[in-house]
Amino acid sequence: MAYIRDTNALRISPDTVVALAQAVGLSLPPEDVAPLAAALSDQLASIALLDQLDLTNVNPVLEFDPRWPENSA
Amino acid sequence: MTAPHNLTISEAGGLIAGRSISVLELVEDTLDRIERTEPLVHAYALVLQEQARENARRLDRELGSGVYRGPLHGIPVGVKDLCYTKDIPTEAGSRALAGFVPTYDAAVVERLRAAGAVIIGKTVTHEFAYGVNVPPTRNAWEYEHYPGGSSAGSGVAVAMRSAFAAIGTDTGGSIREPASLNGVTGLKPTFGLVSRFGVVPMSASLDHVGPIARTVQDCAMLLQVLAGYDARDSGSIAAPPVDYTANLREGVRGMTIGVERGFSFGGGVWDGVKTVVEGVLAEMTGWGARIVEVEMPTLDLMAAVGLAILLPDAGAFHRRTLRERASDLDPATRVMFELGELAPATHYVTALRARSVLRNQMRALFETHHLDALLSPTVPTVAVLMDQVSWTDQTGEDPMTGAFRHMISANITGQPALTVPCGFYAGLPVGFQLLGQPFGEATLFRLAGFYEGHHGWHAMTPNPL
Repeated sequence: MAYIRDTNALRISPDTVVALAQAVGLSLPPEDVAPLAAALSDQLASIALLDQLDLTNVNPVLEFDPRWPENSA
Repeated sequence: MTAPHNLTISEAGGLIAGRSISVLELVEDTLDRIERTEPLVHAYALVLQEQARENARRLDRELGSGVYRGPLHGIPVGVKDLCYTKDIPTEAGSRALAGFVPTYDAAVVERLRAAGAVIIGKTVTHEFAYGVNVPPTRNAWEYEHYPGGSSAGSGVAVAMRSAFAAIGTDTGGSIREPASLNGVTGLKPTFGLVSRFGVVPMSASLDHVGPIARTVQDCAMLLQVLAGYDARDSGSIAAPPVDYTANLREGVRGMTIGVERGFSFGGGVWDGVKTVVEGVLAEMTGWGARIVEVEMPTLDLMAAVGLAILLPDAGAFHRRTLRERASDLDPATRVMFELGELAPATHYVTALRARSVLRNQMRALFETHHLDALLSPTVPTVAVLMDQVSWTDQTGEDPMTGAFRHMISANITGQPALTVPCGFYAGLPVGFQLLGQPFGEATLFRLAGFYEGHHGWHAMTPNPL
């Protein structure tokens, strides 16, 4: 299953998926290549959704703390 | 007389404390219930008959000698098979962990044992809690329907009365979905409140551990035992102690509940579910709560952020599994781990930055409107048929995806989220979710407890076996 599906996404080819997997030292079972290509295409496209946020001068949350300022004394 | 397995924790605990029923009697009744219901729902990966009986006898001896451990003394509790249990197999729903026997207990199991609870069994989880494979567990109300996940067994066992409560884990809704779809109460606590030590991880900053129980009061009693700082969990936070059961019947007059309709009651939510949850809002209004319409257009982005964090986190943790035990993984889980390895690091960092923005927006929403909680449907649908779990609707979304998108916000921001049963649609349970301020669990219990006090949803039994 894909949690995010974008039918307009640039589709990643099975050959590209195999090459990427080789680059990270991963041997893919043949039956995984097609679903992985589809899922990767959707996942890569989904990050574009975040372009609508202004991330200027925003640091990544490297250590998560849920407290809001008033209760994080 | 009410059958022991139909009692709540507070009721059964009272009988044990008063020596009206022995721990062994309660455990035997629960084991009998398990034997009768398991062929129907498969909630347990492992039932601990002999260990449970042995512990029951020990706890009875303690009572006889004047040692009472508190309201969980002698209460049979299920534990998701993602949590380590000393000398007891912990397989996380995966053949890749077949035969693994931890040498220590998870922190939540330690706390349960110390409080006198009897671990009655290990409940079924989707493989490594990813929620993408098909578990053997079935919905407590309709056996052909989806049980929710990944804490499927925990939700179903509590609903079927084959455990008084159960431990679940929640990285993107995995406590709340099975609780809601099976008509019971479940809490994803504030990040850092309950230790995750000894729980097979998915994501260091999205994983949570929490209780599933039949009533709000039982859930609060469980949290009372589970909450607390633990240096062994790098995400643990030392929060001031709170009495979670103190104000369950105080009422809701003067409290402020936010309602965000654009996303939370939006396109993917079934009309029948909306109608039931609108009824909760109407009652809250009648009881004196202030309902405030709010907007947060970026709620729709939470899933993109969550996945961009979750996929690489889980892929990194299971890097060796993927290389050494790949053939033992369910193909659906394996593809998700592979996907995590191929996702660009730049996307991960972008998501971590976006998380900061979304958290600040959520805080501003609560502060601007002086909210005590946001109220919404927990899950957009009721439990669908097992073979419809991956069917897409007119928006191109399947039920599992829709549920993830609705629940992931609480994992992104770390806020507490409580699901409470509030009725039925098409014969299947509907739950509403209360999203609170960080460490605001007592406020959520107050709102939910008052609602529950006016209804009998929690007392409805799916199967009178």
